[in-house]
Amino acid sequence: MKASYRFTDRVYATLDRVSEEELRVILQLKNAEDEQDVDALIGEFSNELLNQALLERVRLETEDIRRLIAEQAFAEADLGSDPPVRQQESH
Amino acid sequence: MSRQFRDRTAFQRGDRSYEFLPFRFEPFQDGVLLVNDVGEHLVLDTNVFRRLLNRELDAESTEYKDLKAKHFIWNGDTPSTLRILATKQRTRRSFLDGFVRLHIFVVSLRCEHSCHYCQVSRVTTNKSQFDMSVETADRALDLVFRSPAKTLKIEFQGGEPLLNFELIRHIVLRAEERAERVGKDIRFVVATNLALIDDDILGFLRDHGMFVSTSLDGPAFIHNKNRPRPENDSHQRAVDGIRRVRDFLGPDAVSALMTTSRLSLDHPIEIVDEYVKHGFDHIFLRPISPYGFAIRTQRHTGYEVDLFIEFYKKALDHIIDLNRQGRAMTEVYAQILLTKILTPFPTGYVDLQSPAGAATGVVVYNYDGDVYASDESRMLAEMGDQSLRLGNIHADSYEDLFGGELARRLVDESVVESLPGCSDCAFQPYCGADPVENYATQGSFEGHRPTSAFHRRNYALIKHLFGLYYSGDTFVQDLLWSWVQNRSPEDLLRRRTA
Repeated sequence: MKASYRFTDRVYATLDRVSEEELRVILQLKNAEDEQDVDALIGEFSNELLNQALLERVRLETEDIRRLIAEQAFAEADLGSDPPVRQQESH
Repeated sequence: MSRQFRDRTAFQRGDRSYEFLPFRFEPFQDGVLLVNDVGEHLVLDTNVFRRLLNRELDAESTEYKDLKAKHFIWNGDTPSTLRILATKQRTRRSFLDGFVRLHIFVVSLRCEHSCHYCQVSRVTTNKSQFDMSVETADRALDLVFRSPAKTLKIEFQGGEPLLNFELIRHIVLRAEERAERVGKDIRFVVATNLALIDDDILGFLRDHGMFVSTSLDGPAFIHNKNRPRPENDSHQRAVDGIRRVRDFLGPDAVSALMTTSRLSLDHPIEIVDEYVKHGFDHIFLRPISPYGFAIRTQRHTGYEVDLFIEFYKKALDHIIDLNRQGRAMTEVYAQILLTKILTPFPTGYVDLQSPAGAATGVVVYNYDGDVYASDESRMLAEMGDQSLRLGNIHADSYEDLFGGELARRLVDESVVESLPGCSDCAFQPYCGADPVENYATQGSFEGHRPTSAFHRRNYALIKHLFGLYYSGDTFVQDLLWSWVQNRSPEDLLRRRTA
């Protein structure tokens, strides 16, 4: 789903759950002129699927530790002190 | 009975006991750029990356040690690792401490310029209709001092705020008195085109340590075209005004902001050189804001984001060359991004935060008492869209304005960890969300990343800065660090020759 989302500037994406293990993705080009780039698009999508699979693996493996770090970070926050603000950067 | 240790090589096949710490990644040059949750980064060869994921890294290898030192992996046996990461996370988010620190007062909507892309100004002499009243200003000050921040900043905007200078005088005196009473620091900025500045105004600004922010879009042919006046002299007035402010208040009391128009896109070198010519050592290459009249006059000033990115890269290359020649010049947006990339410290820049700075870092009190989540929100209102109006200072309480449904939605829908397209982006710790721009250009606070100019611009600029940093040019790497550390070029040269 995340991989498909990244291509929604160029395609309409339809996702169908075929079975517990299988998801059918249909990508339809928004502009017919892009048709000549279809092979490149398929290649990019395949790479993105791989990226997302790896990202998901790391995300799942680190889910608990991420929560622990966030809890510790905010539990010790000192809400009384301001960080410095650079004059030119405020807006 | 004796036991024999296994041979050293047995341990070098890979340390399968390590665990991942939260990180994301991005293809970069010929390898992979890894960025963890607290913004530390590391560039790995693709093969090493594969071995990392397969837990095949040699525990004695440099890559393994780098990954451990930069908190991408750990062995689960060092509690201090979590403490360090929590501290860095807290430091990165410390811009949230103190809540709203920047309070913008629109003291008048009147202006004597008629800029193409200005969303808000009115060329009129009718003071009562478009000037903020003393009563409204006092009520706004009540809200300013409800803010828990120890350091507050009030910025006067317009229209042209100097057209209602008597009210600025009143607000400054009243705010200083109140700040002293409650033990807060307060600073003031006037955002002005400088066309109306005189010795009386300058004397007051000097006596109260006020700072001036003005506009300089580039050479006269660009500035005058962007900011028309009947006499076609807005550039000359800006340059004269900058000189007068420096003479009166000191060299660092005035900063200039440039707005990029379609005309600007063909002149990156000339624009940078104009800043050098007038003695500035900082330039902020800003894209035009996609709001209000800016959208309405798109044929005149609109352009594709890719053109801006190319413009930015050319200007940045020129700035690097100038520094190489010994002329100090910092590009402020690069400085902001690099501070996020190379340090755990927040920048105070409200337009690139998560959650967004609208209504949590900045608020706007309009001349008529309406309160907006950001300057851009009131611009939309001037176009007839009141969706981002938090309320009115005469009708609504502090709690309603800052804790109401709209303020909460702006926070809820601008946390990058939960936004589609952002949640899995390697650059997440360096970036932010802009629900107001999303709303103005895409119709929802959440926005749509694949077609968002905000996303496209920031993704491209962050990646470009990484490219420069890892270009192999040690001068560029030292220069980028000097911007983060606010070091002078003399110091940079001294360190390089030492």
